[in-house]
Amino acid sequence: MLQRIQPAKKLPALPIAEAAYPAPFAPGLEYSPAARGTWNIVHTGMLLPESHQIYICAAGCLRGVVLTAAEMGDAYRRRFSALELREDDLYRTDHETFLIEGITDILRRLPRLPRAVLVFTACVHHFLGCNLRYVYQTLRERFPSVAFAECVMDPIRQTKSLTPEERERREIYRLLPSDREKNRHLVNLIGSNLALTAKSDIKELAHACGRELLDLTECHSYDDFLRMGEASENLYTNPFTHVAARDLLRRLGQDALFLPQVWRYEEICDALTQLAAFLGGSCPDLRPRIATCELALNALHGQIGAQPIAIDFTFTFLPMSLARLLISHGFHVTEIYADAIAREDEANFRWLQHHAPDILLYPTKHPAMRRKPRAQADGAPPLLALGQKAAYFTGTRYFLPAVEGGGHYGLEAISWLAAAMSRAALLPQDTEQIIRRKGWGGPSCLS
Amino acid sequence: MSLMKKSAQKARAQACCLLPTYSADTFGVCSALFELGGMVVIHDPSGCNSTYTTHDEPRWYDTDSLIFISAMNEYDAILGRDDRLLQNLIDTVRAERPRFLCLIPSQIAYLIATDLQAIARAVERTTGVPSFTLPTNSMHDAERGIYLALEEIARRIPLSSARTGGSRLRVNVLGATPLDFPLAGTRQSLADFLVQADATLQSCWAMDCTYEELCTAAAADVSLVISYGGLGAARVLQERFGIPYVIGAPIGPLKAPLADALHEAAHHAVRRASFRRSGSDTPAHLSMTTTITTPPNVQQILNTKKYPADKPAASEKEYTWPQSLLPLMHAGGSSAPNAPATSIIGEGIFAASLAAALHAADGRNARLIVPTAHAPQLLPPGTITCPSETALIAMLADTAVLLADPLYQALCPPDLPFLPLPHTACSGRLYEAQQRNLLDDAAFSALLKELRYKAPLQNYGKESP
Repeated sequence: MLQRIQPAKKLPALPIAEAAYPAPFAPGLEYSPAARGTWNIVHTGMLLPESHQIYICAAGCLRGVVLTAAEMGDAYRRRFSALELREDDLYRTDHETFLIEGITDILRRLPRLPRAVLVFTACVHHFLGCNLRYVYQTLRERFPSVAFAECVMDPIRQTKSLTPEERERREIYRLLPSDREKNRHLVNLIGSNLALTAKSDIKELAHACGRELLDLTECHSYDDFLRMGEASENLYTNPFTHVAARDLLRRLGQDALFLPQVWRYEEICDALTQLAAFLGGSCPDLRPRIATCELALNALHGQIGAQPIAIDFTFTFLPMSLARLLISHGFHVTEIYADAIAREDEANFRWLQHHAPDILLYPTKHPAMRRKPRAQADGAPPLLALGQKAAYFTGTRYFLPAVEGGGHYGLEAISWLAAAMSRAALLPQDTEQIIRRKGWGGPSCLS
Repeated sequence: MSLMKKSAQKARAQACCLLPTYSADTFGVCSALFELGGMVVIHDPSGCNSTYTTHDEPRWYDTDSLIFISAMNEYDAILGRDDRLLQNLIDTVRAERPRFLCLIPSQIAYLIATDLQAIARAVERTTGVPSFTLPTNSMHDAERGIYLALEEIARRIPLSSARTGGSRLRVNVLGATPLDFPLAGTRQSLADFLVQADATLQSCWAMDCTYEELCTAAAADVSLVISYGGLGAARVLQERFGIPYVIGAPIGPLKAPLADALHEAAHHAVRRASFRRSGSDTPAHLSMTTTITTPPNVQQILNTKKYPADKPAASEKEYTWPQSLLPLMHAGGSSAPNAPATSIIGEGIFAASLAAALHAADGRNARLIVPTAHAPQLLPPGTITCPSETALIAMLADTAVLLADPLYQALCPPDLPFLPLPHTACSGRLYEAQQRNLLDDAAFSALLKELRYKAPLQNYGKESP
């Protein structure tokens, strides 16, 4: 009755010249590659000091977030609770009461009340038409000292509405008070998962403009976070932050500037010039720093020459920009892993189509990708992967496991990249062990 | 009681500050079918399968399997775009040519009552690949999913005369998945146990195995069920091929009585088969010698809604321990008048077997706490099932030593002796390196030694060796 027939061997890779913008690959069933070491909503929520997260969902959904918290260690796990929805709850439960009493029970059982609670309702509540306004109103009356963030874990809506990441950022920054007096000296960096390094161009320029940069990733207390309400402007590099930035402009009057995670000198100079003007200062002469980057890239090129390079979208939000930088400097980028192309990356994508048409563009979720051979041909030079998915799909041991740019930005990021690529090209790593660990203990892909 | 009051009570019972969430039924299906060359599609939004592949599937990094998600979005759900799902399934089945397609719903597909039976039927008609669905919804634990998946495979395997191991007793082991047993060493330990028992492993459902191996299961003399997930398949193999089954995990001192039980069950089955063959009204499919030349009608199977999703899969079955194990099972449980000092948290059959093994080794009584799907008849008296977090914390206050997944340690009083038993269905990959293969004699001895050290029996006079 059941017969085994050998599968076809075609892979969904496209030469970049033939790829369509912004979605090169047709939607369909999805595969999940074994490289999942990116930030998720639990990690991001843990950035808010003195907060607690409560998820209300079915076991299948809770499982992922519960274990994410558990893998972060005991201190984080104790800042996480869940309210499990069971099958009979779909038709025998008053969901408003269930939410109110369940969250109340959890908060009363905690050793002390958190300053803020991130409540994550789910797809089910949306489909059941649960009156969340009533739920939050009641909770706020019961716990007046607690700030409730109305987050949602509803991936079913992410392609047609806000993603859970966008919504979470909006709701976290909605906790900022609107009655604080504005301090022109303060500027926020919002929406990032990773703290910017001290030498990043954004930090240095902000300081040069006489401004203090506040960042959630560097807040040690909830009061530190509330201080972000005093800032007069917001900066952000994470594209999941557009909605939060618009909301803060409307609610707190904080003007916002988006600084995409660009990699080319021209783009970086434009961004820093805009930033300087936004902060009321002037952009310093960037030529010495560009020269430093050139030296670093030339030295790297001297080291790795024509070694093939693969880039994925978890390494940076704008992989096309990074690929263009590298190709412009004589590097041999052969593969890019991205399921879609960001708006900010369109020009770079078009440039690559004309100047490096043979780069292979791979999806990461296409079902056929599970069949991609994860080993290089015998005798081929070792491939250098930038990002965990590129490392997974190519099977290389030479890779840079950073995500979201690793906390670097601008010209400083290029210097860092050159040094990190140089190390990665020299030192083979245990790719499987690093990739499989995700956010839990030891070396991981989260930092 | 009013709906609001009931809802408030339920909320308090289901609130977890520290209690872990067990793997879901959909993931149980994926785990059970992982190695069989079929394609499993969870009808769920994009991203939801990463939980399974990240946390619950140790084979995912380096073993190929066709586990996908439908990437359902809000418009598909509201506008009923089953055509999109159907086309995606047909395209992928044609490209991948799996051995079968198993299409399973998670909670939204269940909530909006997507007719996955019809979709599976349409895929099968269009592609010729056997397709079926199972009643999951992501709102039950993985044991139920394993049960449903292995049971379905048992319905579909052909009658086989392939024999292994010469004249030895041929045994199917049912209910082995990485969610309940360590991936490394389990199959070898089972094979070693069977060799010691003058038997041989006919098929292992479904870890370290192939579909071809499972297709030889009909040639076995007896089945050994080592977790709840194997019970459904055991029942079907008995009904279809007359293969009796024995329940129990071969741990330490339990191995000898289990070996006896296997031989005894096989012996009685042969006698029953001979007796039936002499009669004229024996149902053909119960005869050990009858050849079933046609597979069961797929449509009949699909049209038989045997297990409504809101009932435990095994609730209406009568499962029993083998007679030779009953004294140990009852003694190992908490039927003794004094409260037990040892508590074990885990999957029902495995935990009960471990309790019986500890009793046989040390005379130690144990109270079982079973947080997952279970067959009530198989649990010793006094077993606590699916307790709330507050009830569990209260229970642990009068426990002398706890054997459980390390995630339970957060619920324990600080001075409670604790022996970690990492369980993938509970803590995922988190304690993978510390897993104990208790089917291995050395690992069981080490556990016993540790237990004696951490909770010596003389400290708990109420337990009499």
